[in-house]
Amino acid sequence: MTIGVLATPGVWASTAPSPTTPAPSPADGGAAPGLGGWTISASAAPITMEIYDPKIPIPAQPGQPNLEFDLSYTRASYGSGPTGAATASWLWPGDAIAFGLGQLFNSPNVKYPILTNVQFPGATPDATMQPIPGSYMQSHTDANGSTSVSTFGLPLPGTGPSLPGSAPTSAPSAAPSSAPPGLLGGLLGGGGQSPLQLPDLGTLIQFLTGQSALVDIQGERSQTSATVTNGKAVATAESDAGKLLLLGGLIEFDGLKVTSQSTSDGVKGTSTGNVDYGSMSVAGVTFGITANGIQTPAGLIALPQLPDTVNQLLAPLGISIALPAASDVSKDTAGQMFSHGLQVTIDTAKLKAMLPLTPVLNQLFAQIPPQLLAQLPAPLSTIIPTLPQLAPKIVLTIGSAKSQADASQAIDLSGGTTGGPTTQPSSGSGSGSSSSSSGTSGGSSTGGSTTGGSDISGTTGGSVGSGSVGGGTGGGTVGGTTGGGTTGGSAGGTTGSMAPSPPMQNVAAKVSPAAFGGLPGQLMLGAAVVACLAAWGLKKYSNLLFGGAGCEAGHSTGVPDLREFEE
Amino acid sequence: MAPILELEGVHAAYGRIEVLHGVDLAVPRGAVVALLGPNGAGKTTLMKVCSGRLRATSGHVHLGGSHVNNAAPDALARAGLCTIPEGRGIFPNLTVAENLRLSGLVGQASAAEIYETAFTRFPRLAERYDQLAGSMSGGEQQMLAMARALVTNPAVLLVDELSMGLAPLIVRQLYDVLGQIADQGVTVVAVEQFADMALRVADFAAVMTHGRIVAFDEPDVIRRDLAALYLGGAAA
Repeated sequence: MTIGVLATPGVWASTAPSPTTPAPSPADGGAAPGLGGWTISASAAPITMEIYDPKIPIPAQPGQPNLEFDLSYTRASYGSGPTGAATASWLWPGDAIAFGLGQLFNSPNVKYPILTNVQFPGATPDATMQPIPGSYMQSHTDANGSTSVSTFGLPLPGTGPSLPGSAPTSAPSAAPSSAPPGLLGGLLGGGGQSPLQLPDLGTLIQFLTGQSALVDIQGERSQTSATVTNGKAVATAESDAGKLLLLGGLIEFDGLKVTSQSTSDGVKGTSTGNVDYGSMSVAGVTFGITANGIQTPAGLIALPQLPDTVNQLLAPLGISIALPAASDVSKDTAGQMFSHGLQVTIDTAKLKAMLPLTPVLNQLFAQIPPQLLAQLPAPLSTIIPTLPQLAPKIVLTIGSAKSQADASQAIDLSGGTTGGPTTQPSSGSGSGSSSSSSGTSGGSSTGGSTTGGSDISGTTGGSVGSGSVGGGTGGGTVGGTTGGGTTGGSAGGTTGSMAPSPPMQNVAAKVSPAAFGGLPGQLMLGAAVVACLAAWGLKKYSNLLFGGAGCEAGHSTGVPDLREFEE
Repeated sequence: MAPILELEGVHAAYGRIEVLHGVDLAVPRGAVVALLGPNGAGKTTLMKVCSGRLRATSGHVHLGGSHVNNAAPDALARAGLCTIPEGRGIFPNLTVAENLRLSGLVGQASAAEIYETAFTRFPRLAERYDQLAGSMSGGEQQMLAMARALVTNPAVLLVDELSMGLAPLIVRQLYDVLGQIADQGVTVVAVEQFADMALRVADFAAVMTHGRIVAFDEPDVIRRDLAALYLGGAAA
C-alpha cells in the first residue's frame, strides 16, 4: 500500500468543485425554494472488507459479518430542520464499533480514534484528522448541508493528480514475472487478445504462493455530500480505488471509480450511477475494458460479463469474483441508487486447505499501518493480529457508493386566492462577489412583493461573472392564483452579462388544497368544530345516553357536595 | 341516621368475571364502618365501585342522596369522597411536602393550611418535611397517605387495607387517628382483612364473602360471629 504526503486541507477547501464533485458548502445557502422538507443521505467506500467467522468474539446476526472494515469510508446526511451529520474514517469498523466501542468493552472511556464526525446542530461544523502521513479525513456540516471526504494515498478532490507525494512511491507488485504472459488473456473478451490456454490449478497455486499479498491497495478515496441545490435535494457519493492488486497481482485494476447520485425535486426522484474502470489486467495481460458504466433510468448499458471459466478456475481455491452492479430503487419522490464495483469472495478455509495461506493472510492484515493499530483500543488491536489464524470468509467489495434523496414540495398557506398588490415590484438590489474566483456567491434579490405568491430570489453568480436575475413572482392580479412573474432581482458577478432566469411557477394553488381560505379548509374547520361539540355533548350527557338515566329509587343524578350533606 | 353512602344490588365485574353479586350496604353519615372479609371476597372491588374507579354493571350507588353510578372519580373526589388505596398511593420520588401540596390541589387550601392540617395530626411528618416519601418507613408512609386524604377536607373516607405491611403497634396508632378523624364528622369505610384493629374503632361492621355482604351489625356482634362468618357459617 502506498502512502503519500498530502497538501494542506485548505487546497481542497478553496478550490472550485467540479460538477461531479461535492461542494464543501452549498452555493445556495441552503435555500430550498419549492421544497418543504427533505431527507438526503450518501455513503461511499472504495474498499469494504467483510469478515465472516463465528469464532470472532463479536456478535453478529446470521448472514451478517462479524467484522467489517471500510477503507476511506465517508457518509453525509442532511435533513430539513435543518439537521446534518458527516462522518469520515480511513478505517471504518462499522457503527457498532465506531460509536459503541465503550459499550462493547464495558468501558465508557474507550472511543474509536480513527474518525471525524460532526453533527448539526452541534458544537463545531468541521472536523479534520490526519492520523498518519498520507491519510486525511474531513467532515463538515452546517445549516446548508453536509460533506465528508476521506483519502489515503490519493490527492484530495480537485487538487489534481500531481499533488506532491500522492503518487505511489513504490513499485506495485503487479505483473508477476513468474507468470507466463497472457496467462488468462482473452478470458474477458476485451482488448483484442487472442484466447490462450487456461492454466491448471497447480500453476495457480504456484503463482499465489510466490506472492506476498492477497490484496494490495495503492491509494483510495471517497467523498459524499448531501445538499439542497437549485430547489433539489441532491445526494452524491463517489469512491475511487486508485490501484488494486488481487491475489498478489494475478488480477489488477487501475482506477476503479464508482459514483452514485440521487436527486429529488419533491415531485420525482431520479438516480444515476456509474462504475468506471481505468484498466484491468489478469496475470499481466491488459484488457481494454471500455465499460461505460451504468446509467439509469435512461437505460441500462451492459457491462462486460465475467466468463464462467474464470470463476470455475478459481472455485477450488475458494475464490469467486462478481462484476459490478447497480440498483436503482427510485420510487415516487425518492431517488435511491446503490452502485458497487468488483466483489471478490475468498473462502480462506478452502484456500488454506490448498496452500499455506497463513503467511499470505498475515500480509493482508499487516497492511494496516502499525501506527494506526497502536491507536486502536487494546481489545480491538489484539483481535486483529489473531485473524489470520482463523479461517474466515472474506468478502471484498471494491468500490461502493450509495445515495438517497427524498423531498416534498412546500405548502404555501399564504394562499393565492386573495391576490397580491397590483403595484409592480421594484427592481431588486443585490451585489455579486467580484473577488471570488470560484463564483460561489451571487446576488440576492428582493424583487417582487411577497404577498400573494412565492417569491424566488436569484442567487447564483457565475464563476466568470455571469449573474442571474432573480425572478420575483409575488406580483399578481387581484384574486388571481397564478402570480405575476415580474422579474426583479440583481446581478451577481461583475463582468458578465445578465440573463434573466425564468420565473418560478406559483405552486401555491396546486399544493395547498387545504388552504384555509378555500372550501376544503372550511370543511376541515367545520369538521373540527363538530367534533368538539360532539365531545362536549358526550361528556355532558353521557349519563343520560349510556346508562345514567334516572334512578329507579327516585334519587336525582349528579354528584352532590358531600360536605354539605345534611341528614 | 340517613346513609351518606348507599349501595343497592350492586353488581360489578372485571371483563366477564363478575366479582360483586348484588351488594347492599348503607353507611350512616359520621359513622366508621369496618368492611371485613377474607382474601378475594370483593372488598377492594367494592371500594373501587364506591369511588367511581369501576362502574357497576347493575344496581345503584347513592352518595349524599344522589345517584352516582356513572360519576367520574375526580368528580367524586372534588365532592368530598376520598380514597386511601391499598399500597398507600403516595409519590415515592417526591418529598413529603410535595406530596401534601399535590393533594391540596383538590381543594382551595393554601400551602400553610395544608401543612397545618397534616402536621397537627401527624407531627412525625413535620420532621420528614424534605425527605423523599419513598425513603420513609411503612408507618410513616401510611401517615402521609392519611395526611394527604385529610388535606382534601373529605366528607367520606374510604381506607383500603390500612394495616398492610405494618407492625401491630403502628396499626393501632393509625386506627386511633382514624377514630379521631371520624369524631370530627368524617364518614369512614375501612376495608380490613385483620378484624381486631378495625372493630376497635368501628361503629358498625360488615362482613363480605364471595362478593356479597353476609352480615352487617355492631362490632361486638360481628366479633362474636366472625369465625363462623369467615368460614361460611351463619351468625349465631
